[in-house]
Amino acid sequence: MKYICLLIFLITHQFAFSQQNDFIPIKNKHEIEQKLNNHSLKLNTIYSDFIQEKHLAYLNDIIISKGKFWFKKENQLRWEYNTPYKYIIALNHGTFTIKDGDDIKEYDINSNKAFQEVNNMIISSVRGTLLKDNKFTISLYQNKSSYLVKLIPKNKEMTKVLKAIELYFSKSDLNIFKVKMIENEDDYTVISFTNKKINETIPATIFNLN
Amino acid sequence: MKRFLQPFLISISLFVILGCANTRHLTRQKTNTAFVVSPPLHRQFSTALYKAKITLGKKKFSGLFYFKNLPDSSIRILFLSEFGLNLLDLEYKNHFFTVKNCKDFLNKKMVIKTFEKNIRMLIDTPQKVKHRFYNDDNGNIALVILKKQFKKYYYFYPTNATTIEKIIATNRLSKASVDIQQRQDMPAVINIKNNIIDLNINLTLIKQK
Repeated sequence: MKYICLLIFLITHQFAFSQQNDFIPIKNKHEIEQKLNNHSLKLNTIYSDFIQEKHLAYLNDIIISKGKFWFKKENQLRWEYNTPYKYIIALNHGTFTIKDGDDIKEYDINSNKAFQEVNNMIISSVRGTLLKDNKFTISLYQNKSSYLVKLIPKNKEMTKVLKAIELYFSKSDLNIFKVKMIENEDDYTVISFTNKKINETIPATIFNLN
Repeated sequence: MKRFLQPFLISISLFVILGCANTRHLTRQKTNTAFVVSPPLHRQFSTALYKAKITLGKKKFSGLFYFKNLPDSSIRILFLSEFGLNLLDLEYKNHFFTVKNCKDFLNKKMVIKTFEKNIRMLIDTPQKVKHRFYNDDNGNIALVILKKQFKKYYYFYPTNATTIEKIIATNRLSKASVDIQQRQDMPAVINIKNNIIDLNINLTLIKQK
C-alpha cells in the first residue's frame, strides 16, 4: 500500500513539476514574434471574463478578484472588477476614467505618466509592437500548448514595481490567456482570461462611464 | 509670534473640547478591573480584507487593506492596489512595526509613521497606561481614557455595547480619530482622520475569515 501511495505521490509531483517547468526557450524567435504580431493586427475587439489571483506565498494566501474586460481597437478599454468589490477603469480616446463605488473621476491621459505608460503598453500590444519594445528585455519560450513571452523592464524605476511580466499565449488560437505580474518570488499576481469573444461588436457606451 | 502661539492654541482647544464636552453626561468610576479595552481589530478573524480610499494632501489613492493574524501573534498589514501590486507591507509584532516593503511614492517618514500610528489604534491598545472609566446613566461603560505621559486615548462605546465606536488619540500637538461602524462584532466601516498630516483613510469591509 505504501508503495502505491509513494508511486501516486511521485507521479503527481512529477506532473506538477513538469507543468511549471516545461517551457523551453524558442530558437527561431523572429518567426514566433511575427506570428503573434500578425495575429494581434487582426484583433479589433476583445471581450473576456477574468480571474485575478494575488499570490502571497509568504502568508500562504491568495486574494481572488473577478471581473470583465473589454477592448476595442485602437485604444478603448474597460477593466471592470465585480467581486469582491466594484471598481472600473476605462480608457476612452485620451481620457482615463476610474469608477470606484459611486465615485467617478476622469483624467487626461497626458496628465499622468503612469496612465501614459499603460496607454502606450496597450497600444503597442494591439499594434503588435510590444515584442519590439526597447523598454523591456524580451525572451520567448514554448511548451506543447502555449507560448510564453517574458518581459523584464530595463528601467530601474519600473523594476522597483515589477520584476517581470509574463504573457501566456495559446498556440491553438494565438490569444493571450494568462498574464503574470511578478513583484518577487513570493509575491505575484496572475490574471487568467476565460470566456473570450474576439472581434464581436462592442457598443461604444461600454467605454463611457459618465 | 503667531507661529509660536499656534501649537498652544491648538492644544488648549483640544484640551477644552476633549476634556469637557465628551464626559459631561458621564459618571467616573474609581476602578474597573473587569473591563478590558480590546482594539477594534482584535484577533476575531484570521484574515480581513477592506476596500481602502486614502487621501494624502491633494493625492487620492484607492486599493485594498489586508490584515492577517499569524500564529506567532504577529499581524501582517498589506496595502495593495486593485491590480494586486503591493504598495505597503507592514508587520506588527510585540507592539512594534517593521516595514517589509513600501513603494517610493508612499515612502516618506512622516507618512509611514502616521500609517503606523493609525493602524496601531485599530490592532492594539497602548501599554503601561493609567485608566479612567466613565459610565452612562444606565451604568454601562461609555468612555475609557487611557493616559500615558502626554498622550491620551479616548475609547467611546455605544449604549449597551462593548465594541468601540470611536477612538481619539491626542498628544500636545496632534490628534487622530477613528470612527467605526460595527457589523456583527466586526468593524464594517472605519474612517481615520489625522490633523497634523492631511491623511485620511476610509476602510470598508469586503470579507473576513
